[in-house]
Amino acid sequence: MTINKLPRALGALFVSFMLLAAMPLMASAGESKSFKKFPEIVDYKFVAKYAKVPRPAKSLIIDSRPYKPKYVAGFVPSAVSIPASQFDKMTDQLPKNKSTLLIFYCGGLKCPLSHKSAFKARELGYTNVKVYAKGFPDWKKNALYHSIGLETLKAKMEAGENYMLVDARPLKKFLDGAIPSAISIPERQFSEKRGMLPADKANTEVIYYCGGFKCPLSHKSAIKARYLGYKNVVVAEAGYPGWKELYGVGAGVQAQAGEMEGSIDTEQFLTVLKGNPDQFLFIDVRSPEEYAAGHFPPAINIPVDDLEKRIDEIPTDKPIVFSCASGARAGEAYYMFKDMRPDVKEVFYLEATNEFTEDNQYTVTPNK
Amino acid sequence: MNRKAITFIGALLITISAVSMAFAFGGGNARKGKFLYRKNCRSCHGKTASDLSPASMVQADWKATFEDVSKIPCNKDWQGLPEKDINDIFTYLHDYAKDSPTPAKCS
Ligand code: HEC
Repeated sequence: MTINKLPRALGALFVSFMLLAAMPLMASAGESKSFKKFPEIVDYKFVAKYAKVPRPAKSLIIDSRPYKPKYVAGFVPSAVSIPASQFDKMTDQLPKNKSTLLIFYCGGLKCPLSHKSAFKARELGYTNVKVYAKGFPDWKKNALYHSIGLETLKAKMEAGENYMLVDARPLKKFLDGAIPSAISIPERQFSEKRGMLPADKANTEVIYYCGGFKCPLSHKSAIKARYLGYKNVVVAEAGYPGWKELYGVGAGVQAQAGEMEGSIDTEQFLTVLKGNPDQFLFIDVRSPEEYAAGHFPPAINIPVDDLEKRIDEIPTDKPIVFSCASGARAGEAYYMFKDMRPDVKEVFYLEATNEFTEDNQYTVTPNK
Repeated sequence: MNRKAITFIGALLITISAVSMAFAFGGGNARKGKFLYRKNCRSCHGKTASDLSPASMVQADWKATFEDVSKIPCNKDWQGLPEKDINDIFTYLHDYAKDSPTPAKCS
């Protein structure tokens, strides 16, 4: 920390002290009624044995706080969100086997939500129910890291916060599609590539992700980063599959323009084509005969000569990419579409020479 | 001939000479040209007029033809077309001519 930052930090510290001092007062004022406590209470050490990915057999940690803003802002690794207010509606999220260990937690000793849900679970016939009464504040105090929701990551992205997003999957996966702004440090190359982590270990938040809730790579890397001295490490557990589902592949990155007006970056075209073809509407504007002899698997066929009369049947809820054999007809289709439906913004064409085989294999060579 | 008409013709001549002066055609957008050709020219060419396409001529002929657009028989049919669009059309016709590296095979 530099000298000139010190006074500010001290100020912040002072404010936190004030808040801490005031907190019990506020809490007791707000929650004078005490609630019925669940008899089986567990502590951090107990929970830590189960807060692992992949999840230990026959156990489930449940966050009883509201999904937004609480759960997405931070949760115990591997925990699922079943807000107490939604419990009755979400019982299908509970495991079928009633002897599964269920650990409920919420916002700490003053929070009744986990106790409420635990009682309900017991009523449903679950035999091994616990409450982690000290809850999430205690987890944050003791654990090396916690998890966050993708909503929180997105908000950080939009706010331009100081974080480093790290994709812990193998490089190949990263290249096929990744969360915008991420860098690739595969878990297996953690030590070789640790030089890529930020220089500022105290202030830059390091956010790991990998292939979703069942993927352990981001958790492993997060622990290693903590041992390297990074103070602020979290895991975006839903990972790339969750990101795709929530925001699509285009979120954060628009379809990137290629060199020619209206053309799409060939690399990006191929990435989306292979990884997330649902994200674009692929329209092959060659003749039906050419199309029949081989085409990009997700592409539909609207020959350029028919485009004008069929223009209104084209949905515009996702970016449209026209392709043909050489780029000529695709480019023509692009300009025609722009001319006839100037309101639609996300329209592109592939400026490349494409060859197809009958089983829809393809080679794409960008035009110079 | 009244004055108005004279002014009009004068303006026309100036426009035409300005157009032909500025006529260093080429380097336009062939992709857009292909579309503009379909939009502005295909209504006749291939129907009521000759089935004109890039492969109808060699590059030198396209250059010669567009040297002076006012001499193209149907020029009056596309008077309003901006020069930029004409250049894109020229680029398309010229770049995919019969003797170009990538002659247009089909429409
Ligand atoms: C209203 C109908 C019509 C339209 C629109 C039209 N043309 Fe023509 N064009 C003709 C006719 C008729 C001729 C003369 C006979 C022929 O070539 O069929 C001709 C001749 C030509 C020729 C000379 C052909 C040659 O062999 O020497 C060129 C070049 C040409 N047109 C270009 C264009 C271009 C470029 C456009 C669009 C910007 C266009 N025309 C639009 C009707 C049209």
